[in-house]
Amino acid sequence: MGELENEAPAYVNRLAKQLAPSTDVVKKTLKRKERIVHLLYLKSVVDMMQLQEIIVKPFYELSKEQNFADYIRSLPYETNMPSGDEEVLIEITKGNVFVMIDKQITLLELKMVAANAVQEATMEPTIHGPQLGLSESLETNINVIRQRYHQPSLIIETVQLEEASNRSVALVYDTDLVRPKLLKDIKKRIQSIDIKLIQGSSDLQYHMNEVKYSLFPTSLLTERPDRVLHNMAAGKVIILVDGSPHALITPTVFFDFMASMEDNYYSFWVVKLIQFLRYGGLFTCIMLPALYVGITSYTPDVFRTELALTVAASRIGVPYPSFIEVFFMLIFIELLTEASMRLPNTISATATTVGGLILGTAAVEAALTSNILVIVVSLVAISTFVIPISEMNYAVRVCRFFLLVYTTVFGLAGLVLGMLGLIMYLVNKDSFGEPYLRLFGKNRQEELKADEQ
Amino acid sequence: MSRFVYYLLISNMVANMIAAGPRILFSKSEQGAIVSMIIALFFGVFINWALIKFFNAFSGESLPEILDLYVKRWISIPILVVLGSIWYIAGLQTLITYVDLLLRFLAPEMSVYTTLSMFIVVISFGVIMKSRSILFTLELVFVMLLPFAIYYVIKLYFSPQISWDYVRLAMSFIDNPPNYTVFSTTLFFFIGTFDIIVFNSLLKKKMIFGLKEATFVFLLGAFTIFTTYFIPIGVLGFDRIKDFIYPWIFTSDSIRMKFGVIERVVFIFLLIFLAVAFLSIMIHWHVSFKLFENVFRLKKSMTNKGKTIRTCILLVAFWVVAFFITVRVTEYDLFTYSSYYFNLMSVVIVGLLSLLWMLNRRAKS
Repeated sequence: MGELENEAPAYVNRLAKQLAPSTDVVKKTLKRKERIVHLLYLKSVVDMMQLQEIIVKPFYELSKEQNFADYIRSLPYETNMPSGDEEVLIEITKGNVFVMIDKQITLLELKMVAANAVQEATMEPTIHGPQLGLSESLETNINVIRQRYHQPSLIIETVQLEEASNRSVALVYDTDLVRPKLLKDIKKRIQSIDIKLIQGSSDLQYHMNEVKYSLFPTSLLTERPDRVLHNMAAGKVIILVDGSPHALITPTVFFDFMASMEDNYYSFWVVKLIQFLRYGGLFTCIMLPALYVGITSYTPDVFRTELALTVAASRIGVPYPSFIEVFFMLIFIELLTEASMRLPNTISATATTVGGLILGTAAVEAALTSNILVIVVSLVAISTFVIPISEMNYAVRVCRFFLLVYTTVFGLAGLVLGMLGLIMYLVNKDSFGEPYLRLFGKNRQEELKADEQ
Repeated sequence: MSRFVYYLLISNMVANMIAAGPRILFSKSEQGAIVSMIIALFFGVFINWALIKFFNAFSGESLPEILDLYVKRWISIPILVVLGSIWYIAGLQTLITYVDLLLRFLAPEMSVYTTLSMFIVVISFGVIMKSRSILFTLELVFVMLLPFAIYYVIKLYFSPQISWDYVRLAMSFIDNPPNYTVFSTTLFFFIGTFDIIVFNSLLKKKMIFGLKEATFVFLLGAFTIFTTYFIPIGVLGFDRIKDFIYPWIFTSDSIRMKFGVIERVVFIFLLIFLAVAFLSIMIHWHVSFKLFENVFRLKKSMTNKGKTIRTCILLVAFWVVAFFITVRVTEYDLFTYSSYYFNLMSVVIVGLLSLLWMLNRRAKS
């Protein structure tokens, strides 16, 4: 150990070489009398102010008797030292500062995250409840959850994905409430993901799904911290991906998708009314188009005579069978929804007006559809949006077409059978071992345990 | 008893109300129908009690599993084949009746093949899906239908068309000697519980069949039998009731909802019963499928591919037989064969119970 050794040791050089042509790699040697410290970091991800305050300044300020190595070791920023060059490099790219004093190597987490501001909840707005959602930084999100849930049993487990981005993924759960088998299952699934790049929680959700061709989502993406907590307190596992403003909730069953957080904030009867409307909307938007076809084309005598005549009268002049009419209008309304979603806010208002009002009226006047169908289709479109979670919303929109086809072929009885088939499909599906659709939650956990034996 | 056992019982009872059952009852209305129904009611509660009691020793095990444990393979195969066919026919009978009903009342222009094929996808899916899911589907559909069913029953009992004099007249035939066909037809209302020969593998908790449960089953049975038999008589009259092929359809069609969007109650009835009949077919065939699966089991462990092939073959066989028979059977055949089937069924039930009793003794020793 002499003054001549200002050259960095071989290890640091080796690491620096691997990061080499990047312009933001900094390899620094601090030197003062007998002390030498080697630093290696990426300046684009490290907080310079902190580096200055925590490492550089004390280095020159500490008196001779005080040991700088001990000081570094005592810092709360230290992260665990992984074994192997590759892992150390990954840590450095995450924003850790590599510090080497003599033979002692330390990694200090002095990360600077640009996007750590908590964002406003825009996807699932509520009148009451928290207005702010999650942020794009994992630490901030964990902080948001910890701040609202003070239990020593709250566990945050970080896993690193084995793909190109080496993203950190945090599993957040309450050990007292979670089922051990579920936890094991989820970890296994995350480890077994074999994909090049994960961009965020939404594609993690897609790749965690074991079934290749699935329609209904088995995990829920949310940006609301109250939904995260609500589900965690029910024994579910929350998955947070670094850089994604959405939390992934697993396992989720059908009724989780039909719950709005506002159900917790209103009085009992108000909530019951809202829920009734929501389920009514669900049935309407799935069944109504099919019902129209079934009744007008197969069994008009189901309705009382006056109504049957009204429906028939409004269809006078429509030159084709009702199912073409319904398909035509449904696809039209789907296009309208899709277009207004992709467009910027200012233009989408125009699109909706032109599409909805003008074309709707024109289509009726041109005798391409009946008046009643325009009402039916707008009712369907509106009631689709009553479903609080957008993934479920999409799935239901697809189901509607299946049911429509089944009814077109088989009539009203086909509608009932198709609906039963849909229910059976949902019941038979499972999300991480939990039945997707079932009633009576009272002894749900008990029955699950009986199944596992 | 687990709540799912009640669902099985109820689904079978309700599905029977529209199938060939009532017609057989009415055909014997002057030849001892009432006494036989009362005897069958008590016997029905008894067989339920016996079944639950025998299965208590094997909680969480289905009949094929029990047979594997205590009986040699060459004995269990014929037993499973007989039971499998009996359950298959139970489903088929409901299917034929319902296809006929749909053709007659809901979509007369449709061909019988189209009507049958609308069941294929949905029922096949139901047959091969997990047993657990069947029970949950049953629960869900029941809860969804319950408001309609209650409305329908209230509407029936308080309908001004009912003439209780006819009911009293029908009751006056209580002194006729009992009739075996009526007895076995009525007994069929109670065999829904026997589906647990397969579903028992999911019912891990020990079931109790005490006085409370017995009373409940008794009341349920009494109510269903009373409704099935006396309400059509009250609405349609006692003298001509024998001539109706589907007495229940006409009974429902005599009720109107004056202010409803749908005026004729018969459509609500048809659609509710379509759902229940569908569930009943699905359950029966699922049971039958599971029993046959155990018959055609080559080795202890089969490859997945082998299992898929077996499933496909069984399903194709199910549907080929169903198509073949449905297209050929006439109304009269359906009536005759159904009564033969019911007559056979009660013998099989007694046989099954004695088999269970024997197995129980073997398990104890």
